[in-house]
Amino acid sequence: MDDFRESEDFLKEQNTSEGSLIKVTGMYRDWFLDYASYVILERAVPDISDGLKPVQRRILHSMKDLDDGRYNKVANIVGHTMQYHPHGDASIADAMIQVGQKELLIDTQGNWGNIFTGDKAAASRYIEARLSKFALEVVYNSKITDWQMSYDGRKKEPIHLPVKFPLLLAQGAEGIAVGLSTKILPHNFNELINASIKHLTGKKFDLYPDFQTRGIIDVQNYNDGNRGGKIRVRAKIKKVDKTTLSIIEIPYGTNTSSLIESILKANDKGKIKIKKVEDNTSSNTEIIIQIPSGISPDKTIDALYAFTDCEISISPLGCVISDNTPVFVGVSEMLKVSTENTVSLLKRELEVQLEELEDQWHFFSLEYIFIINKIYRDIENETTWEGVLSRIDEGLKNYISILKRPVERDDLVKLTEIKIKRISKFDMEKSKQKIQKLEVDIAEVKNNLAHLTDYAIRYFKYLIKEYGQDMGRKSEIKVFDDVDAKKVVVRNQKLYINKEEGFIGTSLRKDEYICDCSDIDDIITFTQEGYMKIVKVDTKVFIGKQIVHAAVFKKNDTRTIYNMIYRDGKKGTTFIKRFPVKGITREKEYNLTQGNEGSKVLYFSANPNGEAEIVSIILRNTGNIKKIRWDLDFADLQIKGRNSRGNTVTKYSVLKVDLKEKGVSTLAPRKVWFDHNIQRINLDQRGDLLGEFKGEDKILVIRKDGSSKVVDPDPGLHFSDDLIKIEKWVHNKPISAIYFDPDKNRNFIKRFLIENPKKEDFFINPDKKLIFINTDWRPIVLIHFYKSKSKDVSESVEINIEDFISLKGYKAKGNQLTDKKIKNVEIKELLPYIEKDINLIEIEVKDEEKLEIDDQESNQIRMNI
Amino acid sequence: MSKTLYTEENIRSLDWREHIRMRPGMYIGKLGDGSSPDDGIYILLKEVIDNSIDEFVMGEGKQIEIVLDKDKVSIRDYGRGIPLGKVIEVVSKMNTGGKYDTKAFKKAVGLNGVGTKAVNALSSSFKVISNRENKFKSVYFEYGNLIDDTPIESSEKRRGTEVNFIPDKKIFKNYKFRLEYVERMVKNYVYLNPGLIINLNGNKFSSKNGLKDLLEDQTNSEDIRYPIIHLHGNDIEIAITHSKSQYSEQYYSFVNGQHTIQGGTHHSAFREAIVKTVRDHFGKNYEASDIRKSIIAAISIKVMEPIFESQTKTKLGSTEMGGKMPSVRVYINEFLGKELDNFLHKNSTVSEVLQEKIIQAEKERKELSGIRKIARERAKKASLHNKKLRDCRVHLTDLNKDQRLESTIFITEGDSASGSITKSRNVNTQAVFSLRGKPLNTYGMSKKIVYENEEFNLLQAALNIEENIENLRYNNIVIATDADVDGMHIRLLLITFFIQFFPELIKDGHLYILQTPLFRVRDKKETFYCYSEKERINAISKLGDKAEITRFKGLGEISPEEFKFFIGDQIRLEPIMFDKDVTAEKLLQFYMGKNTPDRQKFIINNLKVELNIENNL
Repeated sequence: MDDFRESEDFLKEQNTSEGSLIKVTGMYRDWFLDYASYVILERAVPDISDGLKPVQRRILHSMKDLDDGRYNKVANIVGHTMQYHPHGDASIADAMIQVGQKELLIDTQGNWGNIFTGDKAAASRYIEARLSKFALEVVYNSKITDWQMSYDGRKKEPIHLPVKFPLLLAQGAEGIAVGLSTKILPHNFNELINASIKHLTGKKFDLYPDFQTRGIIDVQNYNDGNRGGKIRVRAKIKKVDKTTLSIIEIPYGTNTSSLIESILKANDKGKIKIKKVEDNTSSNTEIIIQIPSGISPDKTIDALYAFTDCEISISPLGCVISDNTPVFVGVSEMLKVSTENTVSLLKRELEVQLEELEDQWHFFSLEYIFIINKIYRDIENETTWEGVLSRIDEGLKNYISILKRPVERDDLVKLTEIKIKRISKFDMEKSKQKIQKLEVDIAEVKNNLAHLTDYAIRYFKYLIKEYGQDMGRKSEIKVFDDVDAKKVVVRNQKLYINKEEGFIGTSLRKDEYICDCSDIDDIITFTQEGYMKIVKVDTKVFIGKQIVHAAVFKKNDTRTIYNMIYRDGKKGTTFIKRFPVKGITREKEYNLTQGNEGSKVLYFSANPNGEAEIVSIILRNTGNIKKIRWDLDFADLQIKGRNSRGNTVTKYSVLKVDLKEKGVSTLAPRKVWFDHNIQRINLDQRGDLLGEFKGEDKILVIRKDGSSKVVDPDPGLHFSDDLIKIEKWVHNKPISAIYFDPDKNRNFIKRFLIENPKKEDFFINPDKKLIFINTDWRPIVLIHFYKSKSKDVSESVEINIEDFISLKGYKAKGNQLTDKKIKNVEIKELLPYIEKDINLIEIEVKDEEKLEIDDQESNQIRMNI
Repeated sequence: MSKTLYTEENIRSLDWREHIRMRPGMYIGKLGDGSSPDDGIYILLKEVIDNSIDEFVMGEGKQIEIVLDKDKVSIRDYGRGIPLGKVIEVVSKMNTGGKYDTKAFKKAVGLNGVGTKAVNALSSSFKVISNRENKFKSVYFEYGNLIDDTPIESSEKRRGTEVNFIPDKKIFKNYKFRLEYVERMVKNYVYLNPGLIINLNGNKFSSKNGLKDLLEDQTNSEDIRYPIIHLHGNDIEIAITHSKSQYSEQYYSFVNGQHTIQGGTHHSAFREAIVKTVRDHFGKNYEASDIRKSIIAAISIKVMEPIFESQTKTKLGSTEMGGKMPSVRVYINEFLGKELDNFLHKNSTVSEVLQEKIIQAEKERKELSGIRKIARERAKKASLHNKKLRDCRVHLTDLNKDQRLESTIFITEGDSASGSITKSRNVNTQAVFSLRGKPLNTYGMSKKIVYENEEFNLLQAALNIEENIENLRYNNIVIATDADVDGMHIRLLLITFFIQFFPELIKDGHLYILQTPLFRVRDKKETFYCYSEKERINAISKLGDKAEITRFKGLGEISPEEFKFFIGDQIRLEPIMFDKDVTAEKLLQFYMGKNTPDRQKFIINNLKVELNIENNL
């Protein structure tokens, strides 16, 4: 930006000497700057000092003008505002309704529209408004307001309102001007005030947006609201049952109508598959989405995030007017400016207050002296006005040493205006008290001024106490796991292949069907000449003659292993290799042989979980070879990179390679983690390690309500918030549970196994209350009870569960434990347990080394598409 | 007519003077205030300069000095000087002059002997000094009345004529000479008269390359497709190029040094000849409009005793070159057919570029043809009744009507002004075209939009400029927007439209902005309309504190009766003029294109802050 040459002649101001014409360049400059300056300064961008755009400031000022505690028709307020804001009434009404919908400054009456559904407000002649208590307290103080004349010189209007609160950050602001725009997101009331307090106490603070529409937000890249920052906002989607989802919170910037529209659009495009959408919004947002059976609700949730406005990203851009210039600042800076502005406004308020108190004190003291010392009698003989005044002045002289400032003529005049009734009924004590009270007040104000920061902190704390009750954070802050659109998209198209001719595509209906796909998928292809290429799905794509394999390509897939046998050159040696495909560039051809002409792939298989098969090699019978047929097991071969040459099979001419026997996976068990932040399992080392999972291994999930289930470790799964146990399931490991039965008013203990892993079930009835759950082999627990009325000391009892109760059925009631009220259960000791089937585990160790390398690679090499 | 019947004294007969002052339009076209290049004051200037030029053409006096000092004009040549005994007659007696005799002046313009007299009659002060043979004679007039007649005295000064005059403010209201227009006029003189030096307020103008210099001055070197072709002949000079950005044809034609704005026989002959020559050269039957599209050319010919179709000499009517020469048409056709063809053979790159251009034009025309069809249907409808237009009676194309140069179309914004202008306009010469809301930003759009957008299409139809601007219906196209910021924005958008698609309207000085007062300051007796802050302060100081001040933000605030005043005699127009140093593309890209960091910085650095400081409490 620095190389910008404003020396460009046509951008300079033209001199407009007499008799010379302004050229079109000069006109453009003038008009453009007129328009741009106006839109920036007077229309679209809020001022940093009070956080208001001119139209908002004028509306608020008008509301104060009209304020008598009762509701006013909005149309009236709008009309009144036009005295200050010479623009159309519709735009003023719109601006006012937006302020009203923020529910902070305006107390509204009637239908002000609905930000959740996007419903419009009723006409401004119907709806009413008055200033909220908060606004009256925080936004106005005419004594410390700087004024200017309105556009027609008839009225005065505030230059800025003395807003003693970070209003701009609380309400947010958005505006598109000429040449620049602004987008400041709303923040949480209490968090803002706490940040102000932190700033005043010299502490650091962080601010993140908070939205009325709630939703879940990811603020990792908020970048303090600066240009270039970005936040992601998601709807909160609940899984009601297998075929129903419910959106209960929506992202900022959307409403249920627009959100539903985006869902329908994604459905039309075939990105997601749903049966029905209904808007059940009342006071709370609720969009019900019916999904067809057979479609995973979990996957649909992810797909909703990937393809609809259920997830949107917002780029903040903090542009504000400061001293009549647009400046780009972050939210921390805005808060600091607001806080310091608040402090200086508070200071001015105190100063005004002090002056008033001192005036009062001065006059009350003077009056006291005047009456107590009966100075009024001195004037009886005076005939002239001047004489009267000088008499009083004379009379006061002996007593005024206690005053803090000299007696002025105005003071004397005021004394002459005291009513006789007041003198005759003068109560010395009361008057003294009043003066003393004023002295106390003055001292307090002075003290506040001396400790201004403390005073400001008290003020901010007062705001939280008074107004912050229902102002809790609305948008939950979370770190989002990325949804890979390709993983969750509905595969609504069919991919076909013509192997001979070398075409793949969705339009080749006459040819061989490969798989379902979506239009955002990539397809990996291999040809007989040993070339590999990844292409986007299209109606028809030419790959190269003799395709041997084509499939949807999964990014970062390290489990799929390709097994291949090829001949190098026309008559060369035959090689065998195993490799995964990780990072490659789309539309680029990769050679998997050694690149010699005439090379040919003799055998090829793609193995989704690293399976290794046994093949038979059959040589061409040329007479002098002894052994023309033998078997090769891919499991004996190490998995290497796709560029490796591979191992030699034979230098003789191979007739053909046949599959002899399907194999099992040679890959190590994979490690699975559970991330509590997102309540999802993953393979990327986020959260707690659940363990290593082989093909048939499963996860045990126990929920608060006493239900349990056993599921495959599929990263696409969602878990509800109320789960209390998630771990690798060991089929013979007992589960211990303590629960309270309200019917019998007693606690029970049971020990059981998951008997039917296919079924999600309750091991205690839903009316019982689960107190404690443990899945260790042999736990010893300490149970603490509440203090009973009769005894002073609380009791506890130690139980070795294995001894206490033997393994019983899943649905069994268990043993009665006690009728005392359990406070909590503590694990005291875990007794050792020796597994009997230890040999089984060791078998797998063999492959581990190799696979670790594999995993590391997969984390480093990413597909650079 | 016998000259000897009049003595130098009795030339006080006032008939001519009264006549000119009563019907100035007959002699000098329109009056105006100097904001338009064809306003009367420039014609006065031109009439005087013409005489000096005629001297130069006859080989007498290479330098002319012009001094413009606000309203005062002084022109001095070093020609032969007016014969001293006839000075008074020459400047105050109708149909008096030396040019009726082709012996003294050949192929001259100032034929009718009216020019100088008109200047005299329309000036509040008019002084002529003639130096000749070491003697001089000076006469002084006011409003055409002889005030001072100094007898012939001896002089040391160089020979030649000096004319000083001040245009009459009662006739030319609020006039102001615009140096740009005078410069342009002076430049045209030097382009057409190589060797001539004109000194305007101390700046010397001269031209080596004649019409080539003219085209260079009128175009931007980045905007032309090939270097200007410059061809010379005995009585003919031609310069040609094609523009990159401009759509229509643009010609500058001259006869005997006279700018024939309306063209005429030589102009149509040139248009015909260029098509024929190019077709013959390439051996292809290209569409004439494809060949001529975007052309910018200048032609100057010398004709014996030219005949003009109008009083103001802006359209040539002669068909013959005069003498033993062939007709104008044949002469130009022969000249181009030989010289241009030769040039294109010699300069193959230019020839290639030209052919490319023609083919491109052909392609564009075919692309537009579909949309044109629809547009033509619309135009048909519009010719029946153009719903956006409230037309006037006299148009620029009515060559026989005096008021044609006053024909004006106001382009107004929305409802705020069209009502008032309609009500207060002079229906003879003033038409109103109302836009609804803000027009489209046409920057970066193709000409298709002119057909697709109904408003633009109707505007094009109202102006009658689809093919070219030759049949433009109004001399003045006046943008009348509110003086507020949104009005500024609309001006930007509208001028962008004209720059994009009809730049020649701007080049030829047809486009204006209507200045309306920003304030009305009045008390019970007097009302002042103020067009600037300065005028407002002056008015307030005149009326004192009791003055009522109204700020006009929108034209809607001005009532029709008041408006009559703003678009009447004292109309204030600000002409739109290109800046030679900046290409239109660059200008538009910066202001009307996409947001750029540069622009943002520019705005922030140059922000206009309107602080009501004096109003602050």
